[in-house]
Amino acid sequence: MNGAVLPIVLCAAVTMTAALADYADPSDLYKLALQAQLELEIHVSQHHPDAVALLALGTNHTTLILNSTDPEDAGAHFLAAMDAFNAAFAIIYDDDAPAETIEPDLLSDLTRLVNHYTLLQDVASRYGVDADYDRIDELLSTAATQIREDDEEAADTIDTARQLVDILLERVGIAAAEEDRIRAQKYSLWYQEQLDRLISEAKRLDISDTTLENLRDIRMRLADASEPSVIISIIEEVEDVRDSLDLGHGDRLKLWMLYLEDTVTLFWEDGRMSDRQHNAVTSTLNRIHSLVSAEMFDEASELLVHVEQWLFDLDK
Amino acid sequence: MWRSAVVLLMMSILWPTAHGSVLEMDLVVYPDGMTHVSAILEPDPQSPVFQLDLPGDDVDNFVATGRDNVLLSSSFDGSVVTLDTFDSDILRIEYDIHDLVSKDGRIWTFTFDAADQFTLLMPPQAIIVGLSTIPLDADTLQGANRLDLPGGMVEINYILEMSGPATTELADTTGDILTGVVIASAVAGVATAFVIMYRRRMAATEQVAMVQESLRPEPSTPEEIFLQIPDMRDDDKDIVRYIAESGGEVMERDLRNKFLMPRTTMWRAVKRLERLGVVDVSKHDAQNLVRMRSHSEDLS
Repeated sequence: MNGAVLPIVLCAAVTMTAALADYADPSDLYKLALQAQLELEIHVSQHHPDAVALLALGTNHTTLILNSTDPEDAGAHFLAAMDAFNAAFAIIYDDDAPAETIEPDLLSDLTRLVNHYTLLQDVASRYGVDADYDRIDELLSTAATQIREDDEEAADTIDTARQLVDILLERVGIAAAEEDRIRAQKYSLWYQEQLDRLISEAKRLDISDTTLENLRDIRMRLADASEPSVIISIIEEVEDVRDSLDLGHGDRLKLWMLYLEDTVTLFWEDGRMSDRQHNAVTSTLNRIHSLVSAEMFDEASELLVHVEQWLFDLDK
Repeated sequence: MWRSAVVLLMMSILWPTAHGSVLEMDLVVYPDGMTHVSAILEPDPQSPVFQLDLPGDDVDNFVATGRDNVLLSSSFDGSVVTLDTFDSDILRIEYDIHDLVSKDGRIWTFTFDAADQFTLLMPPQAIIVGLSTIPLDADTLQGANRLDLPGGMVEINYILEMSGPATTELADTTGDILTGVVIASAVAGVATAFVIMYRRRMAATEQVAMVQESLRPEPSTPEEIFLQIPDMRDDDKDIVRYIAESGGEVMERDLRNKFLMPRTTMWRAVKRLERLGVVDVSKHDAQNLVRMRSHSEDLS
């Protein structure tokens, strides 16, 4: 991106987040409302005069959806139409609808199991985990046939397939747990580096001696930990440290800016950033200063994110 | 490397833990009232765990994966699930949940308080009779209503019209063709064929992808596209030009960075282009890959 336009683009980005509301096309809203209208026309009768009146009201609003000149108007008529239809259905079914309960649906059950199984197969192949796929496939196929033929054995067949899929999940879980330790240790190393940097910057950040000691202790225990759960719990302790720093929102933003300003200077000095880009980003940072001073923290945060991303892209 | 060395330091140690954001969320309501949830999230990389409050605690078939399809350890406490994400910068979760749909007499009610916009596919035989919010988009997929809905509380009342034309056919927006195959098999009476087709498809996936890639025609040029769709929005045209300049395909995330657009705005723009038949969207490392359609593919 051209550095000269950066401040303009970034400022525009802040204001355009409250973008124009996107509603569905009025013709799509109309179709949706019309479905309800037609269904209501089938069910409504003179026994329910209130429902008849609501049908008329909803029909009127449905027509107006298409006549609306802007999407918001169309949306308002859509909501009014659906309100009317919904109220009419409630009247009709409140009086004479037979009580219905949610019945189990084997086809839905089977579909969900197939989805789950397909997903697990993908994951299992990543870990090289094997299972009796032929048997599971056969059971799923049999269940589909049994459902089609109204065979009461279908539920049992699905249950049997589900048990085999559960075994597959268990095997994948065991394989994944092995890798979790490696991932946890890698993450721990990365976190230790961050802690080292924070500890080395402690003075600049005005971190107290007590907090510093605490951080050193966390750093040391993290280096010794190997179990994922232990690593997680130690890292969570950093949250307590963070709370103890007692920094306000503005302070945090200023600290963030401080780092970004340092980075900008670094990039400019080592030639990764042109003079023009430097001027542009400095101007943006000045604007962020003003926003922070005016306690417009959300706007300042958003601009900081953009500057950070821009620096990141520049560094690629 | 400055980013990890400096900014992430700030974010991890001094900044309040950021909440992961939802990149995509698709819900499919089944005829029996259960709902399948499929979501892609961006966890906070500064935290080794990611906590997610599910919209209920009656959940089946929960699977969470990270980058490179790593299975993530998960533990439940009521509706709150904690995932050990560590360095995963992307997170995909899939589960089935009982708690989103209730029934009173003949009227079913779907209720969901979404953090962000989402796509909802209703059962094919469902007729929506009440909707508490204006959809961002509405169309149909194999006879089923599909809605793009904004974040916030959504309530949908519907009835199941069992005499409808597609009472037993199900479709799944999660992109799993197998579901369609299974259900079509059950309905059409060719169930025995699906396993064979399925096995072959799974075994040959990579070869098929390679062949498809080698046969892929050159993408249309932006100017050809604009001629065919003269009323395309100017900002959408910019996106099309950028994709063309990037070799015909680009990650949606890169589009956001390029145009400095909020995620949801870019998501809607890409959806618009997809509906116009200008681009196809597919998953690549759990991210959206936006690819221009070719000459030979029709623009709608």
